[in-house]
Amino acid sequence: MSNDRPASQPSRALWSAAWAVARKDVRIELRTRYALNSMLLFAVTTAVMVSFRLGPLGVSRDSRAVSTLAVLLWVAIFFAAMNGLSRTFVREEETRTVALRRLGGAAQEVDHLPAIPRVVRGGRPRRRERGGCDCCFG
Amino acid sequence: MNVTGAAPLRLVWHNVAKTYGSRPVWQHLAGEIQSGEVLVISGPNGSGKSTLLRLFGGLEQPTVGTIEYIRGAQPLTPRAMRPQIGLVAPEMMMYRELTALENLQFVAAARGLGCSTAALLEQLAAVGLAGRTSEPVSSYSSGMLLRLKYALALVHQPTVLLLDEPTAMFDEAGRALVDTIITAQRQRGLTILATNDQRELAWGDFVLKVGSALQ
Repeated sequence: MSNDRPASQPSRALWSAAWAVARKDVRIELRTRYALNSMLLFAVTTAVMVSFRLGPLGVSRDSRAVSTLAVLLWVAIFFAAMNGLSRTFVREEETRTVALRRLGGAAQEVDHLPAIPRVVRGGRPRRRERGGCDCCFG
Repeated sequence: MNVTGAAPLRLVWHNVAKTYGSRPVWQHLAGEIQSGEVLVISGPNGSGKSTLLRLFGGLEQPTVGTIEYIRGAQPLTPRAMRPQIGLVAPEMMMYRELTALENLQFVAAARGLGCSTAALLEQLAAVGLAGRTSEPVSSYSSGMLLRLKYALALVHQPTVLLLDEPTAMFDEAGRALVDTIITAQRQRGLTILATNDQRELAWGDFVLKVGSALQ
């Protein structure tokens, strides 16, 4: 169990940390089902509201109507996902588990999604002017 | 003393001050410790012991002054230092829905350690949690939670170990465990405690008294 991490493999460490965080979040979610339930409720509500507008027979099969439905589906998926994502971060703050993750090496980048593309390319994350990762350990 | 063969690690802080709003916590703090040494931060409630520990851990920044880790003559960047720090603090909580083993597996994976399950179970046994590793953390007592915090803080064999109220929830067996951990840490790096317990003051090579009491 060494704490030395080769500097030449930032992306591998990053993906390993990202995978660890994702696996942990899925495991917790399967046990609590807070985000899953709210996402399901959002999806059902959206489907019901759309069906009220379109009526029981739905839309005609022309390509524009089908495209509209496809857009609606993606919008619903996006907002349901955002709903679940925000709950994940709020839970970390409320249960005060953030410090555990902040000291967790490469997991820091997982919290800063905009920094990921640079790290994956093998570069350093952009230095922030105030309160960023390079200014303190956090 | 350093068994790793690397140059000794030093922690140097100079003219450090911390202010919350207009309220200064303390100012003009300066000092230095190195591998093998133990520093105890002591002071009354509200004097900023935990704050200073968080500054040393990089979880907060000083309002004024510098805090630097230096190996040999080479200053280490905060990013390089972070993986070498282990922290045990009351405000650091675990994932209560997960078991002790799952918490440790997560921290080890997030730190990029390739630890086997057997090695992690051994780590949990070393802090006295053998046989309770598959129970959810939500069912743990305060003392067991603190033992798990030690396992999480030590899984990567940190060169800097920061302990805030290190035995606050412990019985005598737990206190003996901390004594063992601090003795082992002297071989690996430096240790900093924040405490008011007179018995814990004896663990330190130096005592840094900070702040004034809450008014």
